[in-house]
Amino acid sequence: MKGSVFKEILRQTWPQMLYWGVGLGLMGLFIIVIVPDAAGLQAMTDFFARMPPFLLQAVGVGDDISFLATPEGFVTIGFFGKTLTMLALYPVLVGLRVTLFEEDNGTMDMLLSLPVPRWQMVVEKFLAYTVTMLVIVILIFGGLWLGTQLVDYELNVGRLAVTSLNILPSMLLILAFTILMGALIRGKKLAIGITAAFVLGSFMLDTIGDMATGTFAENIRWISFFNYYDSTSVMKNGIVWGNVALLMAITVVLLGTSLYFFQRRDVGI
Amino acid sequence: MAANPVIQTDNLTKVYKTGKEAVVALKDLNLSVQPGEIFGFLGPNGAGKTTTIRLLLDLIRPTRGRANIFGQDANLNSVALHQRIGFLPGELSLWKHLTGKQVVNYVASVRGDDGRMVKHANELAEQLDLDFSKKVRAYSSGNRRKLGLVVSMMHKPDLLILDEPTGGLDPLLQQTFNQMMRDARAAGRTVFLSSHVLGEVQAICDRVGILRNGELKAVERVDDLTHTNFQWITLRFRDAIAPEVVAQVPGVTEVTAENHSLKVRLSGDFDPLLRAVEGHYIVGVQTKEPTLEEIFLAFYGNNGAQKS
Repeated sequence: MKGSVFKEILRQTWPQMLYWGVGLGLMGLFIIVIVPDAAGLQAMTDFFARMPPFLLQAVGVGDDISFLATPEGFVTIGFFGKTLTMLALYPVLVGLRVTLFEEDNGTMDMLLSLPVPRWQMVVEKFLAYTVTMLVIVILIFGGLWLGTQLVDYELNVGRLAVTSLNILPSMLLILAFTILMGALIRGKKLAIGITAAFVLGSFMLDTIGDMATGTFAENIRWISFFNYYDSTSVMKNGIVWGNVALLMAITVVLLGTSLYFFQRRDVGI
Repeated sequence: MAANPVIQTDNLTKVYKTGKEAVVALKDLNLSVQPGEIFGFLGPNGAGKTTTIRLLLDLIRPTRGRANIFGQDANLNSVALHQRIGFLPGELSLWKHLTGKQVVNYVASVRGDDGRMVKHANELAEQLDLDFSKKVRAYSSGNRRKLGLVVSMMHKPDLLILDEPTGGLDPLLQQTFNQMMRDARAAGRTVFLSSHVLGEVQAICDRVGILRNGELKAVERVDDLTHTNFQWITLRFRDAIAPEVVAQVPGVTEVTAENHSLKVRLSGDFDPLLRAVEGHYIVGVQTKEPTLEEIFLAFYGNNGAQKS
């Protein structure tokens, strides 16, 4: 029956979803609570202004140091700059469960002996994990919003909301990539290794490309999905729809490719 | 006119490729299983039984040939066919973090249950003396097997495909299982079960397909196979006894003497053997079923051609 796998995955995953969401939400709350006053922010900005540009890029400050002098800038550098790197583990973990772990532990045989098409099973799991990631993002925003209620300075809550939501397209891309690896590669270790290399490699490429201006790394930085996360731009100017559309389009292509290959291959060997 | 077969395979072949090596797991299987019969798929480990079952269930795809179930292609119509099939894998893995009840509810939900499947699952659990409240990881292997049986039968499938179904079941439960299979047959359902234990197949099956090295060597009625059957009998005597005493007994083809025992290979009735040793004090009698390989050799010889 349609929706059964979706509901079961939600039922099984909600405790982990809460742990991730509440944990990161509390971290966001903490960052907002420790935002220094105007004098403190200015002192920090002055400190960063004395740093070499590549180091500024390395800590995620970017070119616009004055942005750091705002509470939004502090939260972006202190929280959103690190959130995706931490959250990237979640879609990898759940993505491996879509096909690879179920095949590895043998439960896929039982599941696919039931009247459910392979593509539907994958899509329902993808949608269920998408919902859990959305809830995690909402919980993160919840923590940030709660933080804004505890401090006496103004923070743009709308921008906090869209910058939180901006995490989601990158997470979906990681989820789709992990599912594709599970659909293409039978060896669990190899699939995990390639997925880890993809996430860490993208992170490294984006970071190094950002630091080393005028180098090869900067020239190919565009292939890293972290490049399109760009939480600083989102916090300053709102959602960058081009980036979101690109990440979502790649996600759809990766998922479609996964379905194509998983539908056609032997299962559970 | 014969009824349409429930399972029909035409030159079904599966070759696994591992690197440069190609392993033929199943070669040109032509098999027909009729409605309402219990068909045993007999063969030693690695003969291709599980490969056949996985092909029937569309878990793996044939290298060539095809399988039809209820007249429909097992690959093209797999989802519709799975509504009518109950499956018990040989190496049963269920979701370990779920309770038995949750597993049943999950499977019933995917099958689109309106409440009747869960009700029947409860009846089956009672019949098998299975407690649903425990987590799968806490079940013994026998109880996991029982849960697998419940899950495979809860929707009263038209076709049951069972891979080594009684492994891990105690003898009492094997009797219960046998009765469940007979009940399924009486209700008009078809059972296709694989085994490497001849006695298990003999107990319930109508016909048997013998698979060896990926090739179907024969399909026989169980009665015919039993006729060719023999047993190893070990008679323990109080005093020493010469093997010649039983060498001429009808049905005895091999005799070995050891200490105060005689080990004989006996086909047919027991009575002539007992009469031959009349007057000798028998301390004990032990019977042992032949291995599948021995039966196969007795029936077909080494080259697989049936002995006349």
